[in-house]
Amino acid sequence: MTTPVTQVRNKLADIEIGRYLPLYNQLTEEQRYAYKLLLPGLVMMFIIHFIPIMWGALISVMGVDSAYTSNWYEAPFVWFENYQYVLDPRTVIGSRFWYSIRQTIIFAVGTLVLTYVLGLTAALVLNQRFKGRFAARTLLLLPWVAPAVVTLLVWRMMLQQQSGIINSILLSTGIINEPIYWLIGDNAIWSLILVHSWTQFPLVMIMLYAGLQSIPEQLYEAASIDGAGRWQRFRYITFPQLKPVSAVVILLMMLWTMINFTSAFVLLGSQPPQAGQVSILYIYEFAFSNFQFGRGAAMSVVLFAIAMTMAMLYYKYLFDEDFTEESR
Amino acid sequence: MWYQLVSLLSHVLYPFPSRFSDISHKPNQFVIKENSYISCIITPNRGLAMRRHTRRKVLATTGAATAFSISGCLGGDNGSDGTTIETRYMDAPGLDEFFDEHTQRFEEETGIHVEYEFVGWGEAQDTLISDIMSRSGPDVHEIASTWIPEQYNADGWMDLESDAVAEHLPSTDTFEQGAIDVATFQDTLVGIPWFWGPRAYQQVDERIEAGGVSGTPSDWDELVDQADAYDGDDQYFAIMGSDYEPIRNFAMFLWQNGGQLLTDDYSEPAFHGQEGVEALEFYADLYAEYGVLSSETLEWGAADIQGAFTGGQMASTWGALGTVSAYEEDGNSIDDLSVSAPPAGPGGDRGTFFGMELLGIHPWTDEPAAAAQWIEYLLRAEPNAAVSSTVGFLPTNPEGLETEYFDNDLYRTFDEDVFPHARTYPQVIGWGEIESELNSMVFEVLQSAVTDDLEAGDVEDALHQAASVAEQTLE
Repeated sequence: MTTPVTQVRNKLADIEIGRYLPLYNQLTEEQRYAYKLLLPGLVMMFIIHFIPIMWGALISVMGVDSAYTSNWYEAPFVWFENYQYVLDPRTVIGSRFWYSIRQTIIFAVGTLVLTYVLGLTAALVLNQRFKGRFAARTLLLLPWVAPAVVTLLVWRMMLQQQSGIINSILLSTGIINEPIYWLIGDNAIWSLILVHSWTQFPLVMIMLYAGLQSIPEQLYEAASIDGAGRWQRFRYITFPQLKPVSAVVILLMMLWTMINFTSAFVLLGSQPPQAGQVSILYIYEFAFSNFQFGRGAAMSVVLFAIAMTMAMLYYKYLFDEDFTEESR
Repeated sequence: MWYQLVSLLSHVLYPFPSRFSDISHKPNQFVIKENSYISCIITPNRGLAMRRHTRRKVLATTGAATAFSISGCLGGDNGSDGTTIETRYMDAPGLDEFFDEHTQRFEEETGIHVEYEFVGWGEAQDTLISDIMSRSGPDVHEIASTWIPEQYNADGWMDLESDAVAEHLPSTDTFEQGAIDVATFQDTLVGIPWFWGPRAYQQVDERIEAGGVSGTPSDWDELVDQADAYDGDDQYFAIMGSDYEPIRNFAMFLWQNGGQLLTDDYSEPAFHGQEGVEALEFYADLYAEYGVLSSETLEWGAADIQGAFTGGQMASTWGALGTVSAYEEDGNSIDDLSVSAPPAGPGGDRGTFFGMELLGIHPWTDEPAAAAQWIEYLLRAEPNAAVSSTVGFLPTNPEGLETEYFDNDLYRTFDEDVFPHARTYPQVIGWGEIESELNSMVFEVLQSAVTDDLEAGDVEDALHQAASVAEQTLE
């Protein structure tokens, strides 16, 4: 006797999916199997990512503020008024938002450069055979593995102007004559880049290290026979071979940094100095302290559009050709 | 019913013979019998081999974890037949013991079971916004006074003079009019004042005297003179510089100088007038010109300043009763301390800031009467005094001040000498935005002061910029 559950299951199995999804009939059995495996992931992504993104885009054209917090669907459609408000550089809010975008780009590019240089250097070192390589790899991963809030708070203490160890070392070694303000004033953005890079470079390192491991040894042997030196081997074999991994790493680091909240919030506080006012902090503060959800969503959409545009340009002008060639 | 859901899900998602239907249910407990095989969706010929024993364990554990998670997230009642209310408060040391004791006492008295939880200050506002958006969450919640306008406007709080709750709540006559004014927004009583406290000038007498100075400063000139004359091992004076502290300090200097934040009808900003400019210039000069404040304090938040004061790094500060409690908890005697209203500005005003916490009821509660009874209980003299003493504030119930918790001259000074000078932020929609903008501007000015970048006219420009945001917001 079949149970109700089995009946439901059998009914589901009998549904002719091709009737509802015409493209389904054009797929091979293997492709269908692949899509079935992808389905749970896609459903989760739809629920967790796409619905909030669409909701954010929707309320960015609605007047959702404190009066419509619980009944946002009743808020009036203001269309592009929110965008006009936050993008107008003549107003204080608009100029602050544009300034925060500028700081975000500095933050993203600075972090990208630093994490890539540090990550590549560390990966190249780890790729050598030496005693204690496993221990070194573990140690280098620590900044990424350790809880972010704890490490950021330690950095905050280290960067204090008078009691911080960074100034203390710089003063005692004679590099500086007066203690520097790292967390306030214009230096805040550089401190943020430094600290965030420190927490993120192990990820870059491990990805590049994986890329290095996949480069065939024969290429180096052939180059050595042709008389290539260490620098030439790096320039003509290692670096080009790492290009696909680097493309992914650079894209991910850029996007993740642009939307990173934790580092800026913990290191610089909820009211950061102007130089440390990156967009994500500004949007959070603006939207949640003031219940300006519609305008905050408009800012988020703008940030999203800028990040996506940068990613597209990056691919189009730097990597499109390589990937097109590869796929031929 | 959750075990049925888990069973159904396991059948629908995994079209293979299984014995997850053998999950049995007992109150608050799931038992999964794994006495038969479960074939796996990832079969060996797909390249992933998993030992049958391990597969069974993984699936059984996942099923059980899911069932527990679902029942844990959605389960509500505690198994008793009586009424249960859920409550939430801002976290502070010692509160767990307080609520443990008083929820028991309350349940014995009324039969109402009170569940409580805490939320950190950092995430409290976000949590409340989520609650208000989803119309779900606890029945009773602690309210920070500055959040009232926006949250009331978002329909986050019940009118406490409505029939459903009014008869169970303490009379508003119990409280000072100033407290009721803060608790009332647009003629609606939004919360019941729970505890409050002003900021006072506090100093460790021994340290001050060792530095060659005596008495507390009565006006700005005396503050500067004392700082000049002070020759102690530690720093003379410190106030907080980071997060939301600059605007609080600025507001105090502004009031002391005879100014105000907004006009009386709250329709326009007033902080950018001459009084405001002078107040902010004086605040900046305490760093740059007079050297009264150490520049490192600009990076300090509440915990840092308290640590510096209780740890002997600072001889004097501005703080609420929490600073006194922290000083005592550090193994010191509060008899070492002197407390007074902050020094007066040129106009003779000794204005200071007071903070207040309230208790409110969310409008989605199913148990408004029980929620009101719980608030009434917490506002009785003894529990009100106990909780106020735990978090470092004064009780809003005046009878609480007569209890053993506040049997000390220092507390009376806070109440009788400092409180009459205390004010708080205007209760107006949009204040959050104005506060945030003004705080940024004040902070910018102070940073420029310590980095020697402050030029003539910068203070005025900064305040006018903040005022233009305030005008736009108040419109």
